[in-house]
Amino acid sequence: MISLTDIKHRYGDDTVLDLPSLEAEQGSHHLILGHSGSGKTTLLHILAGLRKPSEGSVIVADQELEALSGHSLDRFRGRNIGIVFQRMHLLATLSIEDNLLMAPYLADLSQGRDRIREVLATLDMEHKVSAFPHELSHGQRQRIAIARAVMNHPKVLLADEPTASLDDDRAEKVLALLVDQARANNATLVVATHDRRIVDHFEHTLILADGREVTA
Amino acid sequence: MNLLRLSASYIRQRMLSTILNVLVLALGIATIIVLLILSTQVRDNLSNNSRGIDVVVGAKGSPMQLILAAVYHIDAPSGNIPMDEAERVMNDRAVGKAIPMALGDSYQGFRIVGTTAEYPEHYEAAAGEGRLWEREGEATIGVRVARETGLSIGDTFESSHGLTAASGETHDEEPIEVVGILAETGTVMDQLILTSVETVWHVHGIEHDHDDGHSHDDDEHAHEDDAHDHDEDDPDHVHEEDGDSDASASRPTGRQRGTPPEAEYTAILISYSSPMAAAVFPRWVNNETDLQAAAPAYETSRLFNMLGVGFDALRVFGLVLILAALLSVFVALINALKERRYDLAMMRTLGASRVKLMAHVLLEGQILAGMGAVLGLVIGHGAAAILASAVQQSRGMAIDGFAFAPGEGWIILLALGAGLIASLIPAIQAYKTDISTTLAEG
Repeated sequence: MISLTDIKHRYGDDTVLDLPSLEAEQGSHHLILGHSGSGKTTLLHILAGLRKPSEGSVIVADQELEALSGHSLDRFRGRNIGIVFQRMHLLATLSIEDNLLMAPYLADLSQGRDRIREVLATLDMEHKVSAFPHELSHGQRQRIAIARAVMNHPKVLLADEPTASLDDDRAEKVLALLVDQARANNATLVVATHDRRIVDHFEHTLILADGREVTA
Repeated sequence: MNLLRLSASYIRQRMLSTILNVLVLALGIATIIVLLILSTQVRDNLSNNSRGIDVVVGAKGSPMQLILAAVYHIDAPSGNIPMDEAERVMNDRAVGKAIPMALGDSYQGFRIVGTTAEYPEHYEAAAGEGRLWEREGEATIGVRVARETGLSIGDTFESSHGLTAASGETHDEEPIEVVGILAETGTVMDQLILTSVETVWHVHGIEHDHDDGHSHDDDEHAHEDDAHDHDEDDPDHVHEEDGDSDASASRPTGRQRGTPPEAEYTAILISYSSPMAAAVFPRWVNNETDLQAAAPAYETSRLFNMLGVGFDALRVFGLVLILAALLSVFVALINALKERRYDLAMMRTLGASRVKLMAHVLLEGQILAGMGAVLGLVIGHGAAAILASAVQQSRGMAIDGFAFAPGEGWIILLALGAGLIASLIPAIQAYKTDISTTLAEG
């Protein structure tokens, strides 16, 4: 579950985000829609605990993020929040298996190869477990990025522009994977995008413009 | 998955840069290790070979040359001592133990020392096989002499005039019989051929008294000094006419051409009867006799002070190499950090703490430094072993290139410290990575 109250975020004198309220039930799917500079990435980073808002309260997975700092916030993020970025950021020096093992290792969780097989099976990528990122296609890398995000059974799954620069067919597939994985883990899914093609897939949509919520 | 594996994977990724960094660091460490091994073992060797010898008395000349020739057997003697002068010195009250030596001949490059049984006894050297020489014409050889010349008990050999393997003239009518091989001592004993002073005199046709009362006639030996065909290129064989003294007991000082040679010693190793003697005895020898007294401890220390300048220069060179490697590792890590700032940010999103990222970069520096240290140890000891072999061949000094020198641990710590310093700033940068800003850029 996610609950934001009176969130304001400023860079100097500029208020880049001003959001009175956002509520998301556990397992619900939300879309944050907005153009570049609308504040959607800032909002996503606030939800992930990567950035502290200038004002307001953030509760994610029943945890007030303000109460956490340093290593406890890092550990909370690693264990409860999965993030998928547009550019994936797989570690090029590691095999797919090691890329996936990084998630439990960095979150101080026990490392299970069974979980890797389980996640890769749902993404039809078991045969690539020993491959390196540069040996995979763009679509395959995207699936591995999703696999890494759900390795630790997150309560919240965040995705930043997951369908940008993909054709309709690929965008559809990626979105389906995200939704499937969120359902499989009963995670709250929040997708930030400027891509209007995927609006119909979400039950809740927040449209941002210049850091404020606007109606469609 | 662990931090070591992660750091190692990044090092593997930039193999060429890694190899260069490690190699430069290894060369710096190797240089210092070679210096440590050689200086430590040469010093130990010298001090081991001069233990218990307070002073050496020989002909006037360079005191260091006298010590190098009579104690370490790595230089030509400065001349000979007339018997009456020698006996005057040996009978002085200040002298506790006096070991006379007659030098100047060799066999296949191994020096023949005419002396008394007190000489091997002083080095606690006993016969490992056979026995010590007892009669004229007998010799007991060092273990290395036996190994390298193939001489064994019962064999005979002819000594050569001069101190190097290239010495051409042999005393081929006076063969010497090997009656024993000394057990290994790790001292100069291992590479000497020991015989009686009389044997050396005898092969040179020098008239001398025997314990049994008979004496040799020069004519019997057909080894008249004038008949020697000296090799002018032999650096160990210097003629008196050249302004220097003779290296051989066969060319007594002050002898006129055509007169029979006289029995002389080349040097006397002396232990004092009391510590007080050190204050008066050398001064007396140097001022009141035609001889000189040289202290091994003082001359060895002087030698090391002279060598020290060279050692220091090489040590600075090694440190400069380590510094260059440190800078190189620093630049490599800084550049690598720029390339992987998204990776670090991604690791933070996966739950990595700032401290873990810092440790990851520090570990990378330590892996590079560790590899450099291990390779430096291997290269250093390998080079020391090669140099030791060369030193052993040319100077007869037993040096073990694979033995660890005290201080090597500090060198390894220095390398790891250098790695730590080189990776500290990149590690702090990793610690300070702003995940949100970095990911927003990407």
